[in-house]
Amino acid sequence: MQKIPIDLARPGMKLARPVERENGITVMAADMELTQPLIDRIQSMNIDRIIVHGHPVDMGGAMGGTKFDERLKRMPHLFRVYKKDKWMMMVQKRLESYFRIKAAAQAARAKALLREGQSDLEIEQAQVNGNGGEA
Amino acid sequence: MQDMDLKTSVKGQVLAINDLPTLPGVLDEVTKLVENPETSTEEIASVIVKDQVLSAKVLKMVNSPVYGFPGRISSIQHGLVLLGFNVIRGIIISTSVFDMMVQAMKGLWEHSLGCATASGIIARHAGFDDPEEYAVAGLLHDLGKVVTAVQLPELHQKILDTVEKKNLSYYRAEKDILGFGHDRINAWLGRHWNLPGNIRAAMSRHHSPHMADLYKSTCCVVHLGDFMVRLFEFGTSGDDQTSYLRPEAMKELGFKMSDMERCMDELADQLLDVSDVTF
Repeated sequence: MQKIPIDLARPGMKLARPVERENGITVMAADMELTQPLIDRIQSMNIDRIIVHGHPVDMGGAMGGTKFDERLKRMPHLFRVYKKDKWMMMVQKRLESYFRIKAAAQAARAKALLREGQSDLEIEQAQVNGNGGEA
Repeated sequence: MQDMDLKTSVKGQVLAINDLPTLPGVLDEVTKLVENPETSTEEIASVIVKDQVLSAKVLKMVNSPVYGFPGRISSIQHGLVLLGFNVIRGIIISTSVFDMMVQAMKGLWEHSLGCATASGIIARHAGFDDPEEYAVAGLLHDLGKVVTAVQLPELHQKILDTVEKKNLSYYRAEKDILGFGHDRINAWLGRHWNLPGNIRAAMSRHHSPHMADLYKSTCCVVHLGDFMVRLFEFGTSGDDQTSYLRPEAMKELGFKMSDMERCMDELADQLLDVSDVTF
């Protein structure tokens, strides 16, 4: 999941959260796939950020959403001053295994998303080719 | 001996009343009204609404994902009924110091928002009433750092340098340089602004919740919230390390590590939503 400025939205991205207007009214549901007309419409409603599946845009910082593999790598650094503390070391170990599991799940989801995108592309291509065949 | 003198003079400077961030006059008026049990929420709301800019900011904040109300809160009076005066007061304070906070320390606003979100989640998970009160305590927990940065910019820079050079936590570095930490400044600020006891306790005891005499649960919630948001490194509290997680705090909340992980699942989701909440 990633929050992106609407300028960076591209057709084919999928909404991870519903799009809401400022008055709280939902205008698009979660899991909808964006198309250019939809993106234009969001823009015309003065909504400047949306939340989409995966991490399609490299933005760094907080807006990028949590990347669990990055969290896992940071643990030794964040806990470095507690090396002699048995309890804190235990906490670190437990958190590392938590982030490891979350990172694996995140990677699996990203892969699935990619496959979905690819199969969409294949279907489109097949349609183009198929039309040629029918004619 | 000289060192001692420096510390005493610093203390006076920090606590110089007239330079402290001023709170909107509306707040004094409202606080007086609240002391009278006969006052209705309508009366309180009508005072806040007089300041339109402030009302807009308060409404924006109460509707942010930090407080997690599913519906839309469209009026100050509605907000007062749903969240209570303590929460609205905390929000008014945070709006007043927001500009200062953003200028004084990069990332501290995000850290505070993150801690507020985490505290709300933890309080809900622990089954406490009025989780929004815990969220506001989380929002205000590091205000003392803003005061140091504004009143004593040179010493503040020295603290930041010490953090980097000596591999210390911000809290320890404060004690080294100033002789006391932001928890002390918080305690003083809380008294000065007449904040409710639970928020004052969390502000002054979030680093040592096991030593809190009053409102121990609030202190423990904010302590854990601070720890969790540092794991995600959402914003920065001026630190390059986690805070020490007090096992006593986990015990007080009746939390096992698995409870904390459930809260972290939720926090990871919600941080995305709060990442652009500003005034």
